[in-house]
Amino acid sequence: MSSSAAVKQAKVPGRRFPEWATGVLFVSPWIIGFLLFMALPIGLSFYYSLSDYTVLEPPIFVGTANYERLASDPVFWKVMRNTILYAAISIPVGTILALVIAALLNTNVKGLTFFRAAVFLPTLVPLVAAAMVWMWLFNGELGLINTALGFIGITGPNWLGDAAWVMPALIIMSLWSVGQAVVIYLAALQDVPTSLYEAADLDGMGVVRKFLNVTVPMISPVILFNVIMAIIAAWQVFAVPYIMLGDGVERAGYFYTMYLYDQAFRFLNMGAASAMAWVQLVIILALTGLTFIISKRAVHYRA
Amino acid sequence: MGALAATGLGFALFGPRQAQEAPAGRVVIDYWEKWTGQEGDAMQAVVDRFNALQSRIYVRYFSMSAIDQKALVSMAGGAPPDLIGLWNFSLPQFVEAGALADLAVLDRQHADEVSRAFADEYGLEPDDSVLAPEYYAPQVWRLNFHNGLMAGMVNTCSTMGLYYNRAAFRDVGLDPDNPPKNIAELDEAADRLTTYKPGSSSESPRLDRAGFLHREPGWWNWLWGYHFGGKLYDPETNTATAAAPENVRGYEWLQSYPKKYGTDTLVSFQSGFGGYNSVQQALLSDQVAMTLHGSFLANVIQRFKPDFDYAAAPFPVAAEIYDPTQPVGLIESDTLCIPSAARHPREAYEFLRFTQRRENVERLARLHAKPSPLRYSPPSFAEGHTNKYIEIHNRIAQSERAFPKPLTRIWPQYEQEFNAEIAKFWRAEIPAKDILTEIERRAQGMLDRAATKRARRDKANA
Amino acid sequence: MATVEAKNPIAKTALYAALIGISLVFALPLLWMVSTSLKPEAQTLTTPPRWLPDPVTDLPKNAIDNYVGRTAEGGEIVARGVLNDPVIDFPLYLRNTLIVAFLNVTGMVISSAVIAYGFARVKWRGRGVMFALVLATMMIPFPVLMAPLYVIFREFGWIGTFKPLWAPAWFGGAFQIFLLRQFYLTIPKELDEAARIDGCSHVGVFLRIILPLSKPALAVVALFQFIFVWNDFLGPLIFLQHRDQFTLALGLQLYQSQAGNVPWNLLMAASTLILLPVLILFVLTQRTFVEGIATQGLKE
Repeated sequence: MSSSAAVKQAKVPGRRFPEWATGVLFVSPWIIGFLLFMALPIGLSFYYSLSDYTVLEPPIFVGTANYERLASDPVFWKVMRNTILYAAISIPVGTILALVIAALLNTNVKGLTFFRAAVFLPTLVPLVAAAMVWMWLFNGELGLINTALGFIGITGPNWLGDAAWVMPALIIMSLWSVGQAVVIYLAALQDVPTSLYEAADLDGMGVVRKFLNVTVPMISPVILFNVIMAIIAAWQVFAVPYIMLGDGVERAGYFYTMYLYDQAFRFLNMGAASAMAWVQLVIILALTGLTFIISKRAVHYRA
Repeated sequence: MGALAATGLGFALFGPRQAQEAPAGRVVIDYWEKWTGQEGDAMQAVVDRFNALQSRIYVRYFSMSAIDQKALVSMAGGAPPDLIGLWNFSLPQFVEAGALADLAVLDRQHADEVSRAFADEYGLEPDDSVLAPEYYAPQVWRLNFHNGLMAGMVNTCSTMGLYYNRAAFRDVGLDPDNPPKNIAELDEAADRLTTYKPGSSSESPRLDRAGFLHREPGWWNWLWGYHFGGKLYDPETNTATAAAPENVRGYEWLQSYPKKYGTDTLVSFQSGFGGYNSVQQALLSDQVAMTLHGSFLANVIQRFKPDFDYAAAPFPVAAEIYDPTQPVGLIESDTLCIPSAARHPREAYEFLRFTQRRENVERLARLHAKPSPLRYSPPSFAEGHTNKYIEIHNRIAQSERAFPKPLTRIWPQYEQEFNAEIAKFWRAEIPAKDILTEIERRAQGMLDRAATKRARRDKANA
Repeated sequence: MATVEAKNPIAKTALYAALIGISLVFALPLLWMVSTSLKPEAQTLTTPPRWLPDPVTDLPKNAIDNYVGRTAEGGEIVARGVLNDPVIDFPLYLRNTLIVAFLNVTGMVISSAVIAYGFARVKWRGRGVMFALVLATMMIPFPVLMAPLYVIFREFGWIGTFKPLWAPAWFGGAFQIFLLRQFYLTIPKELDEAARIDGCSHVGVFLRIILPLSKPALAVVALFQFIFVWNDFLGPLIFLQHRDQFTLALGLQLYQSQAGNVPWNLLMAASTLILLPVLILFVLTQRTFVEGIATQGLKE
C-alpha cells in the first residue's frame, strides 16, 4: 500500500506535512494518554510492587517480599478462589442465558423493542442502587425471593448472611445484567444468512440442532469477544459485594479488587496492592491469550 | 448528544453554587469530621461560637463519610485539612507514618499566647488546666497518645453498656431495677425474654423477640473476650493474644447462643432488623430485649420513641471478675488531630484548645448523649442529660477496666478478621478455640511484618 | 436479517409466555425499587412484602415525602425527601455528576474522533502495531492502575479535584477509538480522496467530511461514556475527598453508611431518580443505543 500512498502524496500539492507525521499527530493524544495514564502507572506499580510503600512515606525497595507474602497469604488465595469461582460459573451460565434469550427474541415476535428494553434496562442501573435493591430481595426474613420460594413450599436460605449462599446470590444477581450480551448476540443472530437455516431445514434439523450446529458456530467470534470482556469484568467486581457484604460472612463475598483496594487504601500496603495488580495483569493477559488459542479451532470466522 | 443537553439543563437548573465562603482577611481552617445530622449540628454550634468570638480565624466544618480513609488519602495526597476528627483506634496507623503533628510541641509553643487571647480577645475565663492529665478521665487521657506522641485530643468519648427494655423485663417476671450483672444472669434473663412467633414449630422456629443477640448491632465483633477478662493484644511484647483462655471462653459463650436457638433461626430473624438510627432499631421495636450499645442510643430513643421504658447498666462480665466498683466496658474517643502537613497548625491548635474548654466539651457531650471525657463533672452535667443513665457511662469512663480497641497499626486488618469470621463463630460448627487460634496466628503475622517494616524504615531513615 | 419464524400456534404461545416471563423477572427488581420509593419508612420492611403502601391513598403523600420532602410551617423538617435532604445533598451531587460527565464526555468524543481518524484514514508506518496496542489496553483493568494513578494525580495536585475523573478522557479511550475507526472505515474512501485532490488537508477532510458523516457513531460514544460516568463508583470513591464533591453514584451510598441506618424508601427514591435520566435517554435513543452495543460484537 505504500506505493499508492506515495502516488497520492505526489498528487497533493502544497503539502506541508509528511503523511507519517500527520498520522502520528492525529494519534498523539492517545500516545500521550497511554504513556501518562497507562505505561507510567503500570511501570510505577511494578516498582511499588517491589517496595514497602505506605503512601505516606517514600517507598523502600524490598525485592520480591510482597509477592512472597501474597503467595503465603490465605486471604489472597481466598479472594483468588472467590473470583475464579465467580467467573467460572457466572460467565458460562450468563453466556448460555444470553444466547437463549437472544434466540427467543430472534423470532418474528411482536413487541421486540419492549422485550429487548426490559432485558437491557437492568444494565443501566447504577451498581450502588442495584446492590441495594438486591440486598433487599435477598433478605432472609422479608426478602421477595424467599417470600416467592415460600409460596412453593421452599424455605429460602439466608442468602447474604450465610457463607454457603453468598456466592450463589452474587451469581444470580450477575445474571440480571446479561442484557448487554443479549443485545449483542441478537444483532449477531440477525446477521446469520437465512440460506443457512433453509439448508438446515432441508437436512431435517430440529430447532435445537439448528441452534447448536448453525447458529452457535456462525456467531462464535462474537461469543469469544464477549467471553473475554466478561473475564476482564469478573476480575474487577467491586461495588456490589463491597456494598452488600463489606468485610463480613467469612469473606465468602470478598473479591480480588476489594482486597486490592483494602490493601492500598485501608491497610496502607501500597506495595502489596501493586503486587496484586501485577498478578492480575499477568493473569488476564494469560487468560485472554489462552482463550484465543483455544478458540482458534473452535471459533468460526466468516470469510 | 442527549448527554450534552442534559448537562446544559443541569447547569441551568442548579447553577454554580457557593461553597461556605470565609470572611476576607481571616485564616481559614478546614476541619473534617465524621458527624452528620444531629451530631454534626452540635459540632457546628461549637464552630460557630468560635468563629463569632474572634476575627482572626475562620473554621469551616465539613462532614465526611469513611473519615479515616479520606484522611489517609488526603494526607498521602499532600493536602490534608488543618484539623481532622479521627477515632482513637486509627491513631497508631497515622502516628507511625508520621502523619500527625505532636500536640505537646504545639502546646509548648503556643499555650500562653492562646490563653492570653482567650482572656483578652475572646473575653473568656482562663482555661489553664486543659491539655493536661489532671483535666481528663485517666482512661480517656491515655487514648490521645501513641508511641509517646500526643497525637490528638479527645473531642467526645463513648462507653458501651447493656441497654434493656424494662417493660419486657416486667412482662416475664424479671426485676427491671436489677439487671443481670454476670454472664450467667444475662443468659437466664435472655432465655426468659426470648419469645417465638405464633405458629412457630420446633422444626423451623421463628423468633418474635430475642432476649439478647451478640450480633446486634454487630459493630463490635471482637470484644466478647474482654468481658471474661481477656484482651486481644499485648503492646509490651507486641503479641496477638486472641486465643487466650479468657477469649476462648468469651467466644464459647457467644457460640452457646446459636447452639441454643439455631444459627439459621437467629440469622434469618436478624436480617429483618431495621437500621440503627430509626424507629425500627431492634431494641425500640422490641425485636431484642437486651443489647450492647453506647450512650448515644439515647438520642435515637429521644427522637423516635421518647416514652420508651428502657434502662442501662454496665455490660455483664464473667462472675469471677465481677467488681461493681470497676465496671468493664468498651471505651472509644473521637480525637481531634492536626496533620503534620496542615497549613495552619497554630490556628488549628487555637481552635482545638477552644473545643477543650469545659463548657464546650460538656455541651457537645450532652448533645451527643455521651459521657464527659473530663475527670470531674459538675452535677449539672448529668441533670437533664438526654441519657438518664449517663452516670453509668461516666463510671465506665472512669473505671480502670474500661478497655479501648487494641492500639496497634494493624488493627484495621485485625478487626477485619473478626468481622469476616463472626459468621463462622455463629455457625458454631468449629470450636471457638480453633477459630481464635487461626485469627491469632494471622494477627501475629501482621504484627511481625509491621515490626519488620518498621525496623527497615527506621534503618532507612537513620 | 434472519429471524426465525414460529409457525406452530402452540410454539408461538409458549414463546410469548417465555418472553413475558423473562421480562417480568428482569423488571421485578426495578418495579420493587419504585414501589418502595412510594412507601413510608415504617412499611419498607414487612412480612409478607407488599407492593403498595397501606393505605393506597397515601401514595401521593408518600411520593412527595420521599422525593421532595415536607417542611412544617415553622420550618421544621417533617419528611426529609431526597431532593431536599439537609445532609445528603442530592441536587449538589447531581450538579457534580453533570460537570464531570460534561467534561469527560466532551473530551472523550473529541479526542477519540481525532485519534480514530489517524488510525482509519492516514497511512503511516507502525500504525498496525499501534492500533494493536490500543486494543490491548482494553484488557487492562482499572484496579491495576488505580493505586499508582493515585500517586501520579497527587504529583499533579489533582487529588480532591474533579480532574482525575475527566482529564484522562481527553486522551481517548481504547473502545471508543476502536468503535469510531470501524465506523470511519465504512465511509467511502472516494469521498475524502476527491476532497484531497481538491487540495483539502487531512484536517479539512476530518472536519468537513468524516465528522459530519459520523454523527451517529459519535452519539453512540457520547451515550456510552455518559452512562459510564453516571454510574462510576470506584473512581469517585478513590479520587474525591469532600462530601461536597461527591457524585450521585457515590452520594447514593451515604444513605447506607450513616451509622448503619438504611432508610430504604429514601434510598430507593434516590435510586429511581438516578436511573430516570438514563432511562429517558435510553428510550429516546434506543435504536442508536442498540446499534452501538451491537458494534461491540464486531470482529476484527
